[in-house]
Amino acid sequence: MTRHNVTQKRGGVAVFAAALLLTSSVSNAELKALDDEVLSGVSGQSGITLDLAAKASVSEVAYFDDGLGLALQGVKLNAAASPSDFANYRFELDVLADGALAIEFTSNNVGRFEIADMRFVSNPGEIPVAAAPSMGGLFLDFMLDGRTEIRGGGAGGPGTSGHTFDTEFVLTNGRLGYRTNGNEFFFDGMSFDVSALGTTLDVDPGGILHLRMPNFQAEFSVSAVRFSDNPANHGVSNDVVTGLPLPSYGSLWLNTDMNVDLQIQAGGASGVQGLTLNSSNQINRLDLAWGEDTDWSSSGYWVGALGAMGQISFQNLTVDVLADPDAGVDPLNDYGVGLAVAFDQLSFNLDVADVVLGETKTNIDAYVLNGATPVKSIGGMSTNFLFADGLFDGVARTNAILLQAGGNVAAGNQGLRLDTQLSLISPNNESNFVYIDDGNALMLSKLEGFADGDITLDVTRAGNISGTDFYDGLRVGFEQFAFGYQFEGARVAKDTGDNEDLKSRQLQAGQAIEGLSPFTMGLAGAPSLKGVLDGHVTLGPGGADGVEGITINADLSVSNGLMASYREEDGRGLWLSGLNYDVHLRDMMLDVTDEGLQIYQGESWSLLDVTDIRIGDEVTGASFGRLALESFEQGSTRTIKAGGAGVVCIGGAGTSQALCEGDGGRWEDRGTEGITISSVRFLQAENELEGKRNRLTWETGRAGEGGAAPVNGSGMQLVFDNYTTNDGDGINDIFGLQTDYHLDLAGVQVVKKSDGADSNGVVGSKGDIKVMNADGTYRYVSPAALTAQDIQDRPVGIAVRTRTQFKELDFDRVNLVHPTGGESTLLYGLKLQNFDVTTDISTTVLD
Amino acid sequence: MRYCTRFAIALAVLSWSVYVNAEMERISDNALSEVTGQSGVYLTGEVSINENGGPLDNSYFGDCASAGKICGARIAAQTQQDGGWFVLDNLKGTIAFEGLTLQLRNISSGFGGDGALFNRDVIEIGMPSSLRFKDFEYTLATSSNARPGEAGFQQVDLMTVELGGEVTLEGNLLVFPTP
Repeated sequence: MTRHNVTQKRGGVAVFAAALLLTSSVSNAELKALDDEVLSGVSGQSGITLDLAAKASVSEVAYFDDGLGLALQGVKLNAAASPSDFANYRFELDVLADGALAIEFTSNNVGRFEIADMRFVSNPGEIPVAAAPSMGGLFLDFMLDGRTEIRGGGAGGPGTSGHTFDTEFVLTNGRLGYRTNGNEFFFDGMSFDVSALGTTLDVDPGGILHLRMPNFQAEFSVSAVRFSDNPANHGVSNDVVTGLPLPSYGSLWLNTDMNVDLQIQAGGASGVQGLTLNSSNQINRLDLAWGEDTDWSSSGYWVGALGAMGQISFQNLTVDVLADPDAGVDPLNDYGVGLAVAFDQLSFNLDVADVVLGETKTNIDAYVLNGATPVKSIGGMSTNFLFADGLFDGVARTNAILLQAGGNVAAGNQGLRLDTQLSLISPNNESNFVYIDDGNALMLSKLEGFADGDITLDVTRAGNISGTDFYDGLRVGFEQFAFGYQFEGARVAKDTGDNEDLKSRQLQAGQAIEGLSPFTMGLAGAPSLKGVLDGHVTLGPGGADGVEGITINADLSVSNGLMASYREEDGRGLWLSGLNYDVHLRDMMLDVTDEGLQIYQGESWSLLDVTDIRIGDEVTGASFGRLALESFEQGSTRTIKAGGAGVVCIGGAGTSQALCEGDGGRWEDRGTEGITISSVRFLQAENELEGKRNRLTWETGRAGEGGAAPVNGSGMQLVFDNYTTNDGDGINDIFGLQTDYHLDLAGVQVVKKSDGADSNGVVGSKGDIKVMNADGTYRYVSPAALTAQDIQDRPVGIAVRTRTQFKELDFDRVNLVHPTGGESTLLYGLKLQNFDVTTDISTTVLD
Repeated sequence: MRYCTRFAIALAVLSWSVYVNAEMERISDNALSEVTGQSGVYLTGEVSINENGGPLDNSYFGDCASAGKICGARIAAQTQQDGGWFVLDNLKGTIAFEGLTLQLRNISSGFGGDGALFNRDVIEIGMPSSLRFKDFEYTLATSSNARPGEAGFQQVDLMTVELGGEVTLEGNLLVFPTP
């Protein structure tokens, strides 16, 4: 059994549970005298009633592992209303007829448990230095009302060792908050309704503590996720100075039914002390949603993942307190001792029945209850991840996270730093992503990836500290965060409900799918991407529509990047090589409306600089030269909606099947699900002072062209400069550049292009139509013999319909630039007017 | 970024004909059988420009039912400072295609010996077996102003091209990167 050094200063104890139990004896806790009536219950059948008033203050509770300690400092338990008030509880204890001990517990007021600082220490009882790095503070407000029954006998049944717990409780009036440097991010109006019947606790051979929860059911709700930048506020819903409600990100709701199995044993990954955990959990049901400006019924809208099932399990997850691996090696990147969490394997599978956008809580509740209420769904998703040691780019990768104190150095001494290493493997296609739309499925197959770098987490307020700009909100920072992912291609077929069937379907070359990466500024959805990420994304409260929502400010850069916009199975592709991407977002706001997820982009500017656009191999492939794209927009909007293109007429015109086919077109019904992204973009005129503009530069013939390090700026450049949108008058810009993008999975007409056998040996005549068999093989059928069922069985493909409109796209100039000859103007003006272009393109596997 | 990248790639594609050695070739069945791997993609669909007119509604542009108005798109380019404008006007119509293929191909032989010297991958665009033009048309013109309706606007239409019907294309377009 692991030995833990225990530090106890004014009553500090080793573990939190023990601390709670002992607070009455070591601090200002108060036991109320039992009155005569209650005392009479002790000897009678009605049991014992205990009224407890607690006010505890503990300087430090520390956990030591092989000589290094994690200290919880400033631990308090009291009433939420005031630190000087007692938290009051009533416990009623009974012994039931079967010998079980029944405990009913009720809070008589809202209690608060808080930790002011979480630090790493070398010795028990060190006097805290206020400016020393800290992981920040936590607080929990709660009222509890519940009951637990404890019986002898664990998982083996009555008469065996161990115990069985039947527990039901509800936590109300809750707050759960994280505080750094005087700023708070917290769940307000939180409730947690739990039923965990038949929970057993055993000590297995080898001293393994074994917890089984075969019936864990819970509903979790948060009425408002709030932010405060006023240091005087602590655990309050309204600002103490203005009296106004603190700004909110919106509401959260989660509903789950799980089977939990957790084993804990002594000894970590390093030294002789620490913890090792193994767990296998079945998710029988999971629904989760985020809403804003909502009354939790018919007013306000939500996005959600509903009707999910799956599992999460991990093997040999170890917990140790360790020094930074950079200690003594790279002092500048040594952020001190941290809590090290590592694991041999973690698998996660989650099948979501419906992803809804812009639904009311009333409809979501009805859907969860009956599974039949129509909802605005883009379809289903299946996410499958296997994290374990592996190779990526020929480098050994592992899974280990070191939680360190301090966060971003400039933000203040409180914050969280995660020195992160992740390895996502897929030797037998265990990791993949599946999207299901109207019974058709798309698998991004054999997903692999890695991450290696630092993530920082701080709650920050707007201002400049030590030359770094901060914004209101929860700041997620990236420091030298190397990352990469790739998938082998897409497998598209009719959905059988079993992902294993998809794995044996034909592989289609991977291509960037815009609809699957709406939140990542284009940095996902491509078949392969790697690079080094630096910068931050700060999530602030408040939106553009109503009071609640999310406001995003971000400054991100990807350096030394490599992205495939098209990639074949053997790794050859169309590569953006030597990619450097610098993007800035100001006051981008997310809201949920009845249409879906609405994104208002206050101001954004970016530079995408690609050293080489390569064909074939990512390193040695021939290059088209350099491409640099600068973008500058203000007031652009984007709405992500449920539902795709619906019914369409390809190659003709007509609002019905008869009219369409009469015009020579092909009528297609792409169902009710799918994804639509509508955007309105306003391209701004150059701002020389701030270095913002719209410009496209293509450069070839550079010094060292074709080699590993061509010199940018030394070749011939073709420059499309300072292009903007306007309403055709060169003055106003209300219409902008409008795009409706519809993504569906649908049957595709594949026509055989030559007589004879194709690359898979399947024989057909030129002009025949490809028809899929149930087992994933296919045949060719002549158009004259095509049946209605054959049409249903055409190969499934990715159907993208895009409509782009603008009144005027105005290029200020098109220049040719020579490194020694200078700049000459090729075109003194280029104006594109009155465009309304629709493209409808379906892609599927080639033979 | 994705929109921008697509736009950039589109422009690059438009420019290939000028800056890149593209070549059409007919591949025999025998040669086809030597193409290793079929992991490319098969595309089918349509591109429609101003099928029902564009977003501008003024004295010059309108919907396609408005008599005396243009409902197509317009591209105007000025090659001399303060000079006139070359115009591609009233661009509209639909192109539908079936069987456009896209994949990479290694070129290591042929092409009069240049293939062995090149010995790299190229983009192979397989021509669609069916290409259908519907009411496709444009007008070449010269104009005094980029924007119709501006003071002193004058335009001379040089020629109008109209395309309709089905075209069968065979062979592949190979795109060679030569920066």
